[in-house]
Amino acid sequence: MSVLALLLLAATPADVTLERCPRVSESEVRRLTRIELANGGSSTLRIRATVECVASEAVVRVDDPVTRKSLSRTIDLANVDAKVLPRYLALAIAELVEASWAELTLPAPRVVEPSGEAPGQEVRAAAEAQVRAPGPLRLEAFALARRFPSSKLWQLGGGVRLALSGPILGGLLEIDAAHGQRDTGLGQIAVDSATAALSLTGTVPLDSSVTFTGSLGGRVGVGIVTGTPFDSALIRGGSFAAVWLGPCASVKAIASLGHWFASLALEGGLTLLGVQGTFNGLSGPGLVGPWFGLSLGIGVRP
Amino acid sequence: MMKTRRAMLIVSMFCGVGCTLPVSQQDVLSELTHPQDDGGCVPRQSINDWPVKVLFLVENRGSLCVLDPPGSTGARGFCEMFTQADGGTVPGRVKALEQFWASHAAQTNLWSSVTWWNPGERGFSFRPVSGGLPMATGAELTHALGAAGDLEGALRLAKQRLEAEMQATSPSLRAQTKFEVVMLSVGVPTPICSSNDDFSTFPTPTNPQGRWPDSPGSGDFCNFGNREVCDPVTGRDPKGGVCLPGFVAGGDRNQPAALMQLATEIAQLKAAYGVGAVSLHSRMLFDQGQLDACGPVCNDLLGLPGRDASIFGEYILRSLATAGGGTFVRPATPQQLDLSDVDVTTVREVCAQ
Repeated sequence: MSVLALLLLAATPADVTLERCPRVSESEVRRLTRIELANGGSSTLRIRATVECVASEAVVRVDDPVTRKSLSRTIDLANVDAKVLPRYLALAIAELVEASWAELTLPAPRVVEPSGEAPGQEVRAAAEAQVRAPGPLRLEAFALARRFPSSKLWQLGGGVRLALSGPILGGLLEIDAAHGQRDTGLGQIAVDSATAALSLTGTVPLDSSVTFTGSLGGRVGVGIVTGTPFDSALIRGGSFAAVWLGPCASVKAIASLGHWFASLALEGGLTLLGVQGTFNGLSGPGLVGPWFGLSLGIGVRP
Repeated sequence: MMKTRRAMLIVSMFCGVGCTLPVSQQDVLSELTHPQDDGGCVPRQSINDWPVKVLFLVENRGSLCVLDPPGSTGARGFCEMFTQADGGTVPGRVKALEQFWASHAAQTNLWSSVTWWNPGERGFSFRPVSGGLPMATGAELTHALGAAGDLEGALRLAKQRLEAEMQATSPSLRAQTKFEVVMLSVGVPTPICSSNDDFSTFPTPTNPQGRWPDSPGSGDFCNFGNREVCDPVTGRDPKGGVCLPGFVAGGDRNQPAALMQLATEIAQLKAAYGVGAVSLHSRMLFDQGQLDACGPVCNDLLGLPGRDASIFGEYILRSLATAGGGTFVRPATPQQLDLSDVDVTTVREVCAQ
């Protein structure tokens, strides 16, 4: 028995309970157990021991608060004289306690240290962050509002963005659909659009969770203009579709939380090839002139 | 070749107001046929389904007490010095309106609105002429003269009133309605304000094209006035000062080009709302004799010397009528103004029987 175990034994009280053991005095077993454990009575960590007699055997169980585990052992009582039975059980309890505490004497697990100087805390933290950081791809869904001031048209819509971000430069592909309409004196003119934008992006990280990106590229798509007359007996309605395109630039703020992020983007552009509905030869709403867009998105970085 | 391509790209990227970019355009709303084009005539019993609506846009600036007397700004003073040579007590513009109402009292499809501004919105909206001219109209036009000759504000007001009336009318009735705007005015807009004060050449009354500088008599109003919220109905700011509804200090106001644009827009309401007809006419209120008789004290009455004001006013009103698809008439004096030449016939001829 180690010195530590002896010291513990000397300082540990014990409660002993006997179940279905009519031939043995519980108080005698308790007294002898305390002697075996050399009970000093000063510790608050009390060992609980239970002996359950089953036929000619006894199941000894110890709940050890020091190592926070329980052990049990079955012993044969058939050839044990009744006079020594209390001491026999006390010894069995003490041995079980000693066996439980044996783990305390085991050496601490060894750590294999590589040769060379250990890296600093910051270097280690940065390496950990890189291992845990999301990938360079961003997938995002967004809602948008777009304004064409020269034709007094507001469009509302939504779309998806796929961004590939490098340390400084990256790329952005955006696909969206939007709808807008305006009343005229003859009826309503609706302008629907489906467009794709391809941009080169630059990123400026503000801190670990907020980054700003700027992008420069172009938008191309189709605009569909539909006129619905107020009175179809007097006014003829029509519809047509044409290609719309123009260069655009945007700035975006991205707030990240783990692999998820939210974004707010502002876009401006100038139509090079426009689509516009007219009514009785007068200019109506359309995708013409400069445009401004505001979008709010939510996405994930796998 | 490479250089040319690059230049085109740069022009495309920064193309603003000054260049035209290709736009695919197509009529998605257009009138099937116009009522007056189908060759038929209007039966007499259906004439009320073919209304004629005349909006009189009557100028009411303070200087009219000299140019079309008598008149008053409400306080006894300068205006009370001027009377008609024959002692008449009704200004020419009021007399002409009363005669118009009287001569068309039996025409049940004729509606009229009289709107004046000083600045701010006055007058009444469209009502049947057969109901008579509201009693107070003449008195207000004579004895409540206002502060400015804000022609731009007046034309904006006229356009608003026409659009409101058109929007309140069903498309089918709209197509059978004729709208006429008749502007009775001195013709000289005041104040003229320019957003750009850097001029290399100045237009003149005899060579009036181009951008006009701030009116000399407007003080610092063009650049620093109208800072408060301006009530469009009263033409007053919260402190009671005169203001021009819709004017932003430092911007343009009453530039001739903007006035012509508004006249064009009024004429375009025909196409925009599928209306039977819309046109803008002008009649000049200017009595050169009264102005000459007034002497040096009236020299700067319109911000220009009398003869120059006459020439410039006529140029403006004639140009407005041309842009608005209407007619211009300059009577010798406002007392000789006759509105019987205003065309109040329906857009389609009324059947003989």
